Amino acid sequence: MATVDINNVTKHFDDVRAIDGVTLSVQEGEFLVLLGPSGCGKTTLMRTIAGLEHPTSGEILIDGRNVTGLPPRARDVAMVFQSYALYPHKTVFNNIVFPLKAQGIPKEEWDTRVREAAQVLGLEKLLDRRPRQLSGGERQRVALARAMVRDPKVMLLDEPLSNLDAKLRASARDELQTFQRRLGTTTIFVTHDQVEAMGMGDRIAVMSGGKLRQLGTPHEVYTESADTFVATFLGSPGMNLIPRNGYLLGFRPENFLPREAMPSQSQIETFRFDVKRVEYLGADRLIYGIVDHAPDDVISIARLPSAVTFPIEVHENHEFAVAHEHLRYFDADTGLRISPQPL
Amino acid sequence: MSDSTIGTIPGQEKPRRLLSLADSERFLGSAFLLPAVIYIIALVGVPFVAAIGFSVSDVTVGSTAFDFRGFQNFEAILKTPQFLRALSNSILFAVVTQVFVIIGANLIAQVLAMDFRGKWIARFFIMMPWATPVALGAIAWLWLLDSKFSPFDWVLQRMHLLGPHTLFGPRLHMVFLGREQLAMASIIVVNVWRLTPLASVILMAGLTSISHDILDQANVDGSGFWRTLFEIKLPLIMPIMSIALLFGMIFTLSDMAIVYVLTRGGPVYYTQVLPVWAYMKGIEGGALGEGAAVAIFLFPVLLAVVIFVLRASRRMEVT
Ligand SMILES: Nc1ncnc2c1ncn2[C@@H]1O[C@H](COP(=O)(O)OP(=O)(O)OP(=O)(O)O)[C@@H](O)[C@H]1O
Ligand SMILES: [Mg+2]
Repeated sequence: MATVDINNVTKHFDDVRAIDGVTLSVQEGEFLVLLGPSGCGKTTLMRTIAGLEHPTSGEILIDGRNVTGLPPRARDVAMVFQSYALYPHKTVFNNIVFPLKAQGIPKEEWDTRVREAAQVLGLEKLLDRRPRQLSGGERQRVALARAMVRDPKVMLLDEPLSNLDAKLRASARDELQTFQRRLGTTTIFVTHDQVEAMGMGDRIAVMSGGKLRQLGTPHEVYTESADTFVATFLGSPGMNLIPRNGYLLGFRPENFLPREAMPSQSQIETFRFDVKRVEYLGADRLIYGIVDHAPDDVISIARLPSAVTFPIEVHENHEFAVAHEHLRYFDADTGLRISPQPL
Repeated sequence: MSDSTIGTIPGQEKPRRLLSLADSERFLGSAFLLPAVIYIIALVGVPFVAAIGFSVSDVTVGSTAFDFRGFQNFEAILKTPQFLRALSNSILFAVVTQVFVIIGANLIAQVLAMDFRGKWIARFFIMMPWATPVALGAIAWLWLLDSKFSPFDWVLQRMHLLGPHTLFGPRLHMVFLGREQLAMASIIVVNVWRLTPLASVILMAGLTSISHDILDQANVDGSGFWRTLFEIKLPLIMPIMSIALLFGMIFTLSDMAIVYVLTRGGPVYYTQVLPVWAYMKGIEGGALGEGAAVAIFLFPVLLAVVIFVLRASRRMEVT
C-alpha cells in the first residue's frame, strides 16, 4: 500500500507532448481510473510512473519517496500491459514466479506465494501450461497473478480488459474489483471505456491531449463536469451544449424531456425543440433535433426512458424543458465551468 | 451436362477452364515447386549420385572408364593416418569455431540491436567479412600470418612479447602457419572472423523481433541486465540461434578455401580437413574415386549436424 504523487509531469517525444503538465495524487489503497480518448497519454503516464519512460520535467513520488530518476526495478511497482506480455517460453508457474526471482525473494517462499496467487485467480490447474495454451481471459489472470505475487506498492493496469469479449469483460471487471478491495493495493487502472471507469473507480482522472481535465468521484465528474471536454466525453450521448449570450449552456440528454413529462413543481427552463430524427434503443428513445435560436449545426439530443411513452414525431416542433438544477454553464472561450448565468 | 453448374454461360467455357487451372492448388503447387525440384536434382542430386558412383569405382582424371571396385577406395582411405586427422579436424574446427562465433555474435548482436547513432554504418562494417569472397579474405589473412612479414609479429615484438628473453621465446617470428597448434588456431580464427558477421545479423534479427512489451515487463518485474539476457532474450532467440549454428557448422565443415589457401593442410597434414583432402586427392592427384570416397565421409557428419540442430530447435520452439 502506498501513495503516488505525480507533480507537474511532462513527457515530450520530440514535438509530441504526450503528457503536458499533469499533477495528480493517488491515495493509499485507492482504485483510480485514468480515463481518456485514444492517444491522450494514458499509457505514457503509466510508463512514466513505472519508470519505463523518464519524464521531460516534473517528479514522481511513491510513498513520499522521489523515484523520478530510479529504474523500474527500484520502484516496487507492478504493471499489467495491454498485451499482457506473458513470457511465451515460460510456463504459467514460471511466469508468475519470475518477479519473485528477480527481486531476490528467498527461494523457500516462491512455491507458496505462487500457489496463493494462482488460487486467488483460479489458475491452480493451469500452472504447467504455456501462455499460448491459454484463453484470453486466462492470460489476463496470469498477468494479474504475476503482478500481485510480489505484493507491490502500486499496481498499474493498462487496459487489461480490452482484449476480452463483452461477457468475459464484465466478469473480469467484477473479479478485478473484489480482488483489489481484498488486497487493498493502490491501483491505477487505464481505460477508454467510460462504463468501465464509472463502475470501477473510487475516483476517475479524465485526461485529454496530455492534460488532466478533472479528478473526482464518478458521480462528481459526471454531474459536476469541470469543462466542456469532460461534459461531452462522459455520458452516452454526452452533454448538450448550446451557445447563448456569450456562454455555453449545458444539459444532459436524460434531463432534457418533453414539457409534459416534467414534474410540475420544479423550476424549469423551456425550449422549442425542432425534432429531426428519432432513434429507438430498446430501453431508451433518442430524439435528435435543434433547439430554438441555436445554430443549425448544433444538434441536441434528448434521451427519453421507455417509461415516457409520450409520442414524438419527426419534424414536429415540440416544447422540451430542463430543470434549473440540471443546467450547467461553461465559458465559451476556455470551455471551463462557470457560475450560473442569467438565462 | 453434369458440370454445367449454375451461372455458367456457354460462351465462357474457355476462360473458365484457365481459371480453374489457376485455382487448382494441386496444379499450382506442383507448378511452383517444379523449378526448385529440377534445380535440386541437377545441382545436388546428380553430383551426389555421381560422387557415390565414383567412390566405388576406379575412375581417375586420366581414365574415365568405370570399373566397379566395391569398397576398396574406402578401405584405402581408412588405412591412411590422414583420414582420422582430417575427420577430427573437420569436426574440431567446426565445433570450436561455432563456440566462439556464438559467443561473439551474441555480444555483437546485443550492441547492434541497441538504438544508437550510426548503427547502420556499424551494421555495414560488421557484414564486411561475410560479404568478401572467402578466397580473397583467406589471401589477406595469408599475408597477415606470413612467416616473415606478419604484422602480428611486429606488434608482439614491440610489446616485448616476442624475441629473446620474452614470453613467446627467443625466436623473432611466430610462424603462425608453420607450427601445428598455431596453424590450427589460425584456421579457427579465420573461420570465426568469417562466420561471426552472419551469425550476428541473424541473432540481431532475432533480438529485435522480441516484443518491447516483454522486455518492458521484465524490466518492471525487477529483472536486471543479466537475468533478462539469460532468462528472456536468449531463450526467445534460441530457435533462431540454432539456425545460425546450423549454417555456421555447415559452412565450416564444407568450406575448403580457408584451409586450402592458408596451409594446404600443412604443416605435414596436421590441419587437413575432409573437403581439402578430397580436392587434393581427387582433382589435384587425379584419383577421382578416392577423392569422392573422402568427400562422401562428409555426408554423414553433415547429416548428423542437421538432424541434431533441427530437432533441438523444434524442441525449443516457443510461440
Ligand atoms: N515512443 C513514442 N514516440 C513518439 N510518440 C509517442 C511515443 N509513445 C507515444 N507517443 C505519442 O504520445 C501520445 C500518447 O500516447 P499514449 O500511448 O500514451 O496514448 P494512450 O492514451 O495510451 O492511447 P490508447 O488509448 O490508444 O492506448 C500519442 O499521440 C502517441 O502518438
Ligand atoms: Mg494506451
